[in-house]
Amino acid sequence: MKNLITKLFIHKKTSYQEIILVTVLLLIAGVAHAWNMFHFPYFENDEATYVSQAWSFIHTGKLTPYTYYYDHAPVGWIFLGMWFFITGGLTTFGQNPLISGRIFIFILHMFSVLFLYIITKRVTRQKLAASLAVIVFSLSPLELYFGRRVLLDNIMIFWVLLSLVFATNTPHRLRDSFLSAVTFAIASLSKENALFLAPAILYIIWLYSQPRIKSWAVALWFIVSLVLISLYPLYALLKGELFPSGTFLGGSHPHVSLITTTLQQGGRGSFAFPWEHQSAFYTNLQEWLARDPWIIIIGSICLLASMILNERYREIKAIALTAILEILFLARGNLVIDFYILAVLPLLAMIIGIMIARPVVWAKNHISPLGYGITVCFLIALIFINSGTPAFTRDETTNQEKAVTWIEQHIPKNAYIAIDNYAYPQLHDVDGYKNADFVYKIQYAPEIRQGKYHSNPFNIQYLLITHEEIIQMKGKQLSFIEKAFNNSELIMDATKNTTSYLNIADLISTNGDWAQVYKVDSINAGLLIDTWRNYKRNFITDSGQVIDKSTWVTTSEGQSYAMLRSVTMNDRVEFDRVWQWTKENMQVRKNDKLFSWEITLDAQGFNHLADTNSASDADEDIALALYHAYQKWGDPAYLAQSKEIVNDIWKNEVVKQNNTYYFISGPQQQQSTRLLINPSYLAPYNYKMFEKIDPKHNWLGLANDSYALLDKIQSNSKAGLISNWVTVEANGDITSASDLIVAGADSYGYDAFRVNWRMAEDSNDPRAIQILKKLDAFYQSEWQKNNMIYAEYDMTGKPLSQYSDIATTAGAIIGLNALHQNIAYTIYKNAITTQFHTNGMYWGEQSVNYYNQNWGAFAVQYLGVGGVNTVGNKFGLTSTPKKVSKK
Amino acid sequence: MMLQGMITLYLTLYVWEDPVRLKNTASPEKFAEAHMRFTVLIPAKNEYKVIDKTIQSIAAAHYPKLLVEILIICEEKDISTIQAAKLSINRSRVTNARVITFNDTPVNKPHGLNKGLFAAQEGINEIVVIFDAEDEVNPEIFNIANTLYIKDKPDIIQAGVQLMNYRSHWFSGHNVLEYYFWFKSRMHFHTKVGMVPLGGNTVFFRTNLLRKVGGWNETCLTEDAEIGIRLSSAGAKILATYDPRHVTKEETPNSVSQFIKQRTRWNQGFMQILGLGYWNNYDTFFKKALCFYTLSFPIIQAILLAVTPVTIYLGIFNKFPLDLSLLSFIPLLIVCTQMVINVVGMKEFIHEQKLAHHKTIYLTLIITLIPYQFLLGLSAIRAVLRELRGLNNWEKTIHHGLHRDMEKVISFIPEFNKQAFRTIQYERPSL
Repeated sequence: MKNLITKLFIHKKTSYQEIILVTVLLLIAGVAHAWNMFHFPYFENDEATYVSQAWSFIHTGKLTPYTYYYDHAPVGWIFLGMWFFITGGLTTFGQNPLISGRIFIFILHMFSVLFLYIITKRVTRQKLAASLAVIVFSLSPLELYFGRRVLLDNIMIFWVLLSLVFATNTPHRLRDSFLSAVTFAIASLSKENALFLAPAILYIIWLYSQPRIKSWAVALWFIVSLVLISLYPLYALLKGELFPSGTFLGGSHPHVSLITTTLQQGGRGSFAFPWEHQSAFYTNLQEWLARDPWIIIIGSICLLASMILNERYREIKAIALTAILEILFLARGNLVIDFYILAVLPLLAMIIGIMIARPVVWAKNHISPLGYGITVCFLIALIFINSGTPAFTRDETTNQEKAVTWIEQHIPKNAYIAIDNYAYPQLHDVDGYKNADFVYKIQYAPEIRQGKYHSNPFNIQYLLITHEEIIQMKGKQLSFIEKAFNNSELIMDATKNTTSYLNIADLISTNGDWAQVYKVDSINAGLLIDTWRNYKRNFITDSGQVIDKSTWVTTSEGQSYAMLRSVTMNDRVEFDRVWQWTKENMQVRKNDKLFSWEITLDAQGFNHLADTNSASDADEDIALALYHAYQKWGDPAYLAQSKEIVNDIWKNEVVKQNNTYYFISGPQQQQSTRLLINPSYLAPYNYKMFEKIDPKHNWLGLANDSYALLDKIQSNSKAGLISNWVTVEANGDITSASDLIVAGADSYGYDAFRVNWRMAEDSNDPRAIQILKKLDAFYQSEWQKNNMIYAEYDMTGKPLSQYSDIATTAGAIIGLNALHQNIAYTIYKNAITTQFHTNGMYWGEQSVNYYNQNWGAFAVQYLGVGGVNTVGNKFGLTSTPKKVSKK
Repeated sequence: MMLQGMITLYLTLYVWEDPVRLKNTASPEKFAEAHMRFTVLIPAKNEYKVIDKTIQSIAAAHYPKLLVEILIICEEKDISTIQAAKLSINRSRVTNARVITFNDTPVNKPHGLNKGLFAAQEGINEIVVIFDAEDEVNPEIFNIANTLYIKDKPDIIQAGVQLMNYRSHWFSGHNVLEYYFWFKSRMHFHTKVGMVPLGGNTVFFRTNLLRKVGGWNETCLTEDAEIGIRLSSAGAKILATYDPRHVTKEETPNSVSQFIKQRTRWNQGFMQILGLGYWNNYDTFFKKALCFYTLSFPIIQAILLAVTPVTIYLGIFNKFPLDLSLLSFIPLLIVCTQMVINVVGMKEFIHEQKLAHHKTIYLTLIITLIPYQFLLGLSAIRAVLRELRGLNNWEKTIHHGLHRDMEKVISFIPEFNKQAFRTIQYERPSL
C-alpha cells in the first residue's frame, strides 16, 4: 500500500508519518465538505442543468435533453453521467438526483485535496506548506459554499490539479507530459476557463522536464492537448454547427453554432474595468469578500509576495503565475459569475500555504518546539474559526424539496410547469413530468417556446418560482415567463425559516433557500388583446366613430379613449381610423382646432352635431394620444397636429386669474370670472408632456397650480375625497358648482374617480402620491368595511348610491395600484374579474356600458395582469409590471 | 488507426520518454582496451564514385590496424568499382584492406555478405561488421563496439546510422527524420523487447553466431531485417547504441523514383519475412504481436493510403453517425501531431549534428508531410502489387555521396562525370 501511494502520488521518500498526516488532512477536508452538504448551500439551477444533461447523455445518448447549443463543452457532464451509470441511476442516494451529484463532487473534492497536497509538497518539499494549503482550501467558506455544488468548475478543478500532479512529477518523463496534456484537455473540455491556465502549465512542464527532453515535453503537451481539445470544434463542424447560420460557411438554414455561442458567451456582460463599481468583477469581489475575506486578502498578499520573494524558487512562481492568469481571466472586464472564483481557490490556498510556511519553518529553527507547536495550532485554529458555521448548520434546501414534494402530490403529471432547474432532474427525469420545463429553456429555446408553448406564455399552467428566477426576472432575462408570472396566484409557499429578504412584488430576493408554486390565471391571459378586439367590434364603426350605445351618442371623450387605447395596443390602423373620423366630424370649430364634444345619432343612424362646444378633458387626451402616436410610430404629422391642439388648449382652456393658472372645463367658460372646473380634467402628466411640445407656454406652471388646486379641493373633504365639479371665485375661493351642474356636482362619483387615473399617470411626482394617499386610505377602509366601493359618496364619505360600478371601482384600483398593489389586486379579483364574461370578453352588460369597457381595460393595464404590457403604453408603464405581493 | 497512431507516437518518442533511458543510449564515455577483432564487410556494386572515401574513413579509424580487416566485396564484372577500391587501397597504402570478388549468383548484397562472412577469420573474439559503400564511418566506432562487447557481452550491436542531407530534396527532411527516429529511438525499444529488425549497416555480429545460422538469406530483399528477426527470435542478445557524435552518415535517395524503389524493396522485404513466419518463433505473445505489427506495417500503410481519401470523402459528404464521422478525422489529427513531432525532431537533429540552421526547413516539413505520407503509401501499394505479381528483383539505390564534401570525392575518382555531377543539387553539411 505504501509503495503504491509512493509510486502513484508522492514519488519521493514517503514515511508512515506522512501517510498518517495525509490521512488526517483528508479526514478534515472530508468532514468539512460532507457535513451538512445536502442542506447547504441551496440547490442552484446550474447544478441541475448538468445533472439532467449527464442523465440525458447516459439515458438517451444526447448531450442535453434540449437542443445542445454549445454553451459548454460536454466532457464534464459526460464524466458525471458515468458516475450515474456506475452507481446505478439518479436515485441511488435519494429521490433528488442532486444528492447523488453532490456525492460525486465530494469524491472529486477528496481527490482534489490530495492532489493539492502532492503539488504543494513537490513545489516546496515542505509538509507544513502542503498541509496548510489543504486546510486553507478545504475550510474556506467560499469553497464550502461553491465547492459543494455540482458545478463544472469543480469537475474542472479536479482535472486541472491532476494535470498539475503529472506536470510536477519528477523525474519528469514524456508520459507525464502526455498525461498532463490529456487531463488538461479534459479539464478544458469540462469548463473552458481552464484554457487560461495553459501558459502556466506549459511553463511548469518546461521547468520540471530535464534539459534533454524539454523541447519534447513541451511540444508533446502542446500538441496532445490541442488535438484533444480540437475534437470539440470538430464535433461541431461535423454536425454542421460550427459556423453561424446565414454565413457563407454556415449555410442559410437556422441552426445553433459553436462560434456564435462562443462569441456570445465571450461578450456576455458589458465591458467595465475591474475597478469600476458596475463591473461584474467588482460586484462579485464584494460577495467573495463578504463570504471569505481572508482567503481573498491574504491570498492576494501572498501572491504578490511570492512573485517578489521567491526569486530562487521558479516552481513557486509558476504556481503564482497560474493563479494570476486565472485572476486576470476574472478581471478581464466581461461577465463573471460568482462561482468562477472556484478555480482560483486551490491556487490561492497553495500560495498561502507556501508563504505562511516560510516564516513558520524559520521559527521552527529559532524558537522552542513548544512555541512552534503553539504557532502551528494557532494558525490552524484561525483557519477553523474563519470557516464559520453556516456551512455546517444552515438548512437551505428543505424548502426547495418541500416545493417539489408538494408538486408531486398536487399537480398532475401532464401539467405544463415552468420550473427552476433545481427541480428538473427529480420532476422530469425521475417522476416523469414530461411537461416540466426549465424556465430558461422556455424563454430561449425556440423548440420549447414555439414548439411546445406556441409562443403563448399562458399555456404555462404552473410556475415553480425561486430566488434564481426572481433575480433573472429582475434582470429582464425572463420576459416570457414573467408574463405568465404576472397573471398567476400563489398556491404553495415554502418560505419557512428563509434567510432571504423577500419582496416578490419588487422582484427582490437575497437568498435561494425558499420556493413557491404559482398557478397561472388563464382568465387574465391575453385579456387586453381580447377585450380590445371585442371593444372595436362592438363600439367602433368601420369609419372610426365610437358610439355609446346606451344613448346613441358619440363624444369627444369616447374618441379620445379609443385613440389612447389604440396607441397602447400598438394598433395603428385603428388609431388612424378613429383620428380621421374625429378630425373630419368633430374638429369643426371655426376659430380653433378643438373638438366639438357631442354628436347624436338619429333613428336612421345619421349623425347630428349636437354641441359645438369642446370638452377640455377630451381635447387634452386627444392631443396626448397624438403625441404618443408620434413617439411610437415616428410620424411627424401626429406631432404637428398635436401641437396645433395644444396651442389652442392654452389659448382657450387655460385661464390666468390671481396669478394662478386654471384649466377650465371648456372655452365657453373663459368669459366668466367664476371658473367652472372639473377636477378630473386636471392632468399634470399631460401638461408636462405639452411643455415639451409647446415650450413657449407655461405648462409646468399649470401643472403646479393644478396640484395646488386639487390639494385644496381634497382638503375640504373630511374623507379626503374630491368632488365631481367645483367653481373658483374671482378671489380664488372654491365654491360649489351645484348651481351650474344639473346633479352630483358636490359629490364624488362618475367624474371624480378619474382623478386616480390622472394622479397614477404622474406617480413619480410626490404631489400626486400625496393626493392618492388620502384617496387610497378611504378606499381601503371602505373595502374593509363593506367589501365594495360604492359608485358615489358625499364629501363626508357617506355613500350616495347602494351599488358599486365597474368604472368607479376601476378608478379606485388604478389609484390603489400605485401604493398598495396587493389591495388593488384583491379588489380587482373580487369586483372586476367577477363581472367579466369570458365567452364574449367584456365586463358587465356589453350593449350599454361603453364607459365600463374602457375603465375595465385601463384597470387591467395598470395592474399589469393583461399580458400585453410589453407593447408599451401611454400610461407610463415602461418599467416592469409588478407582481402583486402575496406575502 | 488511432491505435496505430498511438503506437507510432510511442515508438517515435520512446527514447525521450525517460531521461535516464536517453542517457543510456549514448556511446560509452571511456573506451576499453582494444580486444575484439573486427572484419569489416563492404559489399559494393557500381560504387566507384564513393568507395574510396569509405575505405579511407574506415582505414583511418582509431583502432589498432591489426585488429581490423576490411573486405570490399564485388562481383568480378564490376570492374570500375574494383579498380576504384584497389586504387584507393594502393594510393594510401591501406595494409589491412583487400578486395574479394565473386562470379556466382545471385548478385545481391546478402550474397556478397555471405562471401565476406566466410572469408573472415574465425575465433571467440571475432566480430563481423557491415558498412555500405557510401558510408562515412566514425573513427571511434570500433572502440565503441569493443567497449560494449566487453562490458555487456552482446551477440549483436546495432550502432546509429543517420541520413544527413536534410535539404537536398523536398522529401529529404522526412527521410532524415525517419532514420533519426528509427535509430535514435525506436531501435532501443526493439532491443529492449528483444524483437529487432536490424538495420543494413553499422551492425556488429559475432562471426561464430552468423556462421552457425548460415549467414544471410540471399533471397530476401531486406536481409538485414531478416537476420535480425531470425537471430532475435532465437534469443540472441542485441544491443543498440546511438550517439550523434558517432553515427554512420549516409545520404537520402537522390530522386523520388529512387526513393520509391528503395522503399518498395524494404516493404517487399518485410512482407517476405512475414511470409517466412519467423514472427511465430518468439517466445512471448507480445513479441509475436510486435513482430507481426512491424512486418505487416507496409500492408497497413498501403491500406491506410487507399482508405484515407475515401474516409475523408465519406466524412464530409455523407451523413454518417456522428461518432463514425469523428473517427474518420483521426488521421488528420495524427498528421497534426506528426507535424509537431517532426518539427521538434528536426530541431533536435540539427542541434545534435551541429548543422547549419535553415528555418525554412520547418515550413517545408509541414507542407510536405502529406505528400511524403503519400509517397510512403504509394511505395507500400507498389510493394504489395509487386509481391502479388511475384516481382522481387533487387532495385538498388544509386549513391552519389551527397552527404560528403563532394570536391574531395571528385579528386579521387578520375572517371567521374563532372558534368553529370553538376546537375545534382547537393547539401554541404558542416561536418
